[in-house]
Order: sequence, then C-alpha cells, then structure tokens
Amino acid sequence: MLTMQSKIGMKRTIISLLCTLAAAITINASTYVLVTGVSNYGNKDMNLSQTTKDAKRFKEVMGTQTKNITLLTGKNVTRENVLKKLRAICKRAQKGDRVIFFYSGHGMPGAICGYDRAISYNDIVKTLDLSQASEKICFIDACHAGTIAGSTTDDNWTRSIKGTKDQAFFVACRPHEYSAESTLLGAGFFTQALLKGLRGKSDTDNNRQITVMELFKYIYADVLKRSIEFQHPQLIAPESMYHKVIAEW
Amino acid sequence: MSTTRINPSSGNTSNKKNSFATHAAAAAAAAGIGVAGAMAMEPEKEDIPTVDKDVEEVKEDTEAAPASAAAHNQGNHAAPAAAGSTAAAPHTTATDEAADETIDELQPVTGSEEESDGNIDDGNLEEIEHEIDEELMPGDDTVYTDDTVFTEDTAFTEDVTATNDVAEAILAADEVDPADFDMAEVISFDEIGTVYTVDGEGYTGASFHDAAGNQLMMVDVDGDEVFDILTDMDGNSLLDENGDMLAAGDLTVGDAELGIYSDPTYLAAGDADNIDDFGADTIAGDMIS
Repeated sequence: MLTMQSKIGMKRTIISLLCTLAAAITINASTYVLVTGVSNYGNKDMNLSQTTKDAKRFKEVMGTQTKNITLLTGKNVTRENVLKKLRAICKRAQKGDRVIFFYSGHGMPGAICGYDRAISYNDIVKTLDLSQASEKICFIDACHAGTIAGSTTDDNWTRSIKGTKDQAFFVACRPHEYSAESTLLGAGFFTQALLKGLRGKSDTDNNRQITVMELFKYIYADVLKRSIEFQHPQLIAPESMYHKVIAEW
Repeated sequence: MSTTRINPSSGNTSNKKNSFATHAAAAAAAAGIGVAGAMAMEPEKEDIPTVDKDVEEVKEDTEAAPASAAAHNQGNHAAPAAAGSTAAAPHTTATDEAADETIDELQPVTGSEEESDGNIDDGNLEEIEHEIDEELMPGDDTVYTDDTVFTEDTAFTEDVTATNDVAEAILAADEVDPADFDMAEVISFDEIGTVYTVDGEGYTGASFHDAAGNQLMMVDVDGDEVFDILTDMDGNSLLDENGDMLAAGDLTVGDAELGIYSDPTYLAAGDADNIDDFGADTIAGDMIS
C-alpha cells in the first residue's frame, strides 16, 4: 500500500513526465507558412505598389522561425493555386504544428482578390478547418478584411473559430474600412506594424516571445497612430489563442 | 535649429528632453498614404478564359512593369510626405452563401488573352525554387516538372514513397512573378542616433537618402518616437513654399530601425513602442472572439 508521501512523489513524477512530453511536443512542432501578395493586377487603376514587397518582407521575417515557407506573388496568386498550396500545408501540418497564412493585396467584402478571381474568406476558413494543426493564424492586409467575421457561414464560423478554438485572424481593418499603403513608408500600414511587432517591438515583457495579444496590441496602436484612426485592425480569435506564442527570438 | 551629425554608436534610444513640438506631421501623413485594398470585380462568366486542361498553370512571358521608375518619380526629397499613393474603391458585397458563390465565379481581372493563346514561353520566368529534381505534392494529385509546367490529374502512385525531406522542400518552394511590382524604396535609412543642438539638447534623429542620393535627416523633436521634421545634414530645417517646416510623414523610430536593420533580427521595444493611446473600449471593440 502506498504511503501518502510515495503517492505525492509518484504524482510529481507523472507531472514531470507530462511536462517533459509537452515540452518535447512543443520543440518538435513545425510551422508551415503560405505567404501571398499581389501588386500588379494588370490594370494601372488597380495596381498597388507595396503589397508584393510586403509579402517578401514577411517571408524574410518568418524565415527566422521556420524553413517551411511558400511564397506566391503576382500571377501565381490565383484562387486555385492559393487554395491548393494552403490545402497542401494544412494536410502536412499535424497536431501541435502551426499553419500561418499571409496575404497582402486588394480586398473586397467577403473575400481577398487573387490575381484571377476572388478567394472568399469562407473558402480559407474551410480549408484551414481541414488541418489537424493546433494553431492556424492568418494575416490579411486588404481592404474590408474585417468582413471575415461576417462572411463565413455560421457553420464554419462556429466550428472553426468558436468551436475548435485554433484559428486567429489578424486583419488590417474593420469591415467598412480601407487598408492603406504608403510609398514613403514602403509598406502597407498593417504589414509594417506586423513586421515591427513580430521582430520584437511588441514584446512588452522582453521575454523574446511574441504572443498573439502582444502583437495585436502593437499593431493596433501603430496603425491607429499612423492612419490618424481611419484604419482599425481587428483580431478575430477565441480568447484561448490570445497568449499563444507566434514568434520566438 | 542647429545640429551635429548623427553619432552612429549612440543607439536608438530617444532623449526626451524637449518639446518644441511641430505637429505638421499629422497633416503630412494623410498626404503620404494610399488605400491598398478595395477593388471591384464584376462577374462576367462568359469572359472566363479557357485553359488547356493539360496545362493548368503556365507562366507567360510578360513585360516587366516600370516599377522602379514609378518609385523614383515619387522620390522628391523636398516633400517626401507627399509621395504618391494608390487608391481604389470597394463596390461589391458578398455576405451570404449565394453571394459567396458569385465571388467564386468572378472573372479574371486580367491576363485572359495571355492565358488563352496557349503559348508557353518561360524565357522571362524567374521561378525561384529550391533544387528539386522532381517535385511531388502528396495528396494533391499534382506533379511539378522541371519546366514548371504544372499538370493536374496525374497520378503519383509510383512515387508515393517520397521522403519527408522532399515534401518539406516542396512546401518551401516559391513562385515569384517577375512582372509583379517590387518597388524601390523612396527613402533608405542609413543611421539612427542622437543629434544635438548647439545648446546641448539631444534628439533622436535618423539620416536617410532618397532615390536621387540626397542625404537628409529626420528628427523627433518631442520624444514620442515619431519623426517630426526634416533637416539637411547640417541641421537646417527644410521649409515648404509657405515657410513651414516640412514634416517627416509620421515615420517612426521603429520604422527607421526596421529599414536600417533589414536582416530580420530581434528589435527590442523602445520606451514609446507600447504606449496605448487608444481607450480600452476601442481595442475591445476590435477584438472579436
């Protein structure tokens, strides 16, 4: 019969083993990133100037976190190709892994604008929902990006964002707002703030770990200040995601 | 105001000693921005291009757009805050499933002629990919050939044993469109540090050069880590035609650091980096859970 002390000792051992296991899972976790950006839509009235550069710079920063990065720009950002690549990394990612999707380009209510066709937020959420990855994080630098919350069907929204609690969307602006870029800045407002935040500017506790909440607060303040409050980034995520670490240095 | 040259070794910490505020920066910010997002995509199904089923994705020979020229045109150092911008307006709404289906059917914005002529000319193609002799996309029914002509519906049963290394490499492949704009920077930051007036007061300043090679400086005069005025390298303020000091377009110390330390390394937060100027109610309203 076990004494109280030996029971406590055994409990500690089990807890210790579980912690070690959890740490091992974390260490082995992989991050898969799909980065997309379109600046040349083939129409001078529609062309943007900084969005592809945004994508390339985001890739550079994420390159410090993982080697599993796919970059698509311009004509390669077709609806089919984006969803195909997203499906591929979603299939590849396993439990404990993280999937990150970044887009910079035109947006419209309910969708981002691929080079050839619109890609609805509904499709993106549905695709992410297929993945076993433990965390799925999207960064959308496009006008009307805030419509993602309202444009996914109730079923997808409930199951993917509220239900599984593993998706977080950082979006550049509220549903009715535009997302701005600046040639002087050399970037989109949102992406510039995102890059600074990811690289440490949002790290309020200086522990070299960037959490979802730290990053969002930084992006929010930076974009509001720069845009004189005409652009409000939004975080669409369950509260359980707020303290997840996105980047470590 | 008279200043000395930036001391490169003086770091990025601002000295918040003075506040002869120049807040023209706010006005300049509005001039230096563009709207990056919205566009209207009209559904004209009959115009959807027919693509050869055997060749699902072809990189056409495309004329490179004069991106750098456009950027240079906007690089007027005397008024950088007025650098150009791009704007477009939203017109389409998709809020329910029916609308969502419509979105799926939207026609290509451009390039339909190029795709429909069936020519495959990858002479200008700059496909940046890792060296993979044979690319397989497990579970995706797609075989990627060396010529980057992607075909669908091709079984990959013979090579199901592709290793994880190959799969990882595939997931890390890039498809970069050389015709997409990769704008040159309008300004490039060189150094950041502390500049001093003849009275010994220190301010955070960043030296930069524009596309024409003109060396100038931005100075944060009120210590909020937002650059307020532009000066030449001798510290003389640049003035507009009305005699007002030119603003620095609301660029921040963090922006300068991001430009100077372009290698993606950790950038420690400064004193003013995480000051919430907005109310708690405001940010709470933009957090949707």
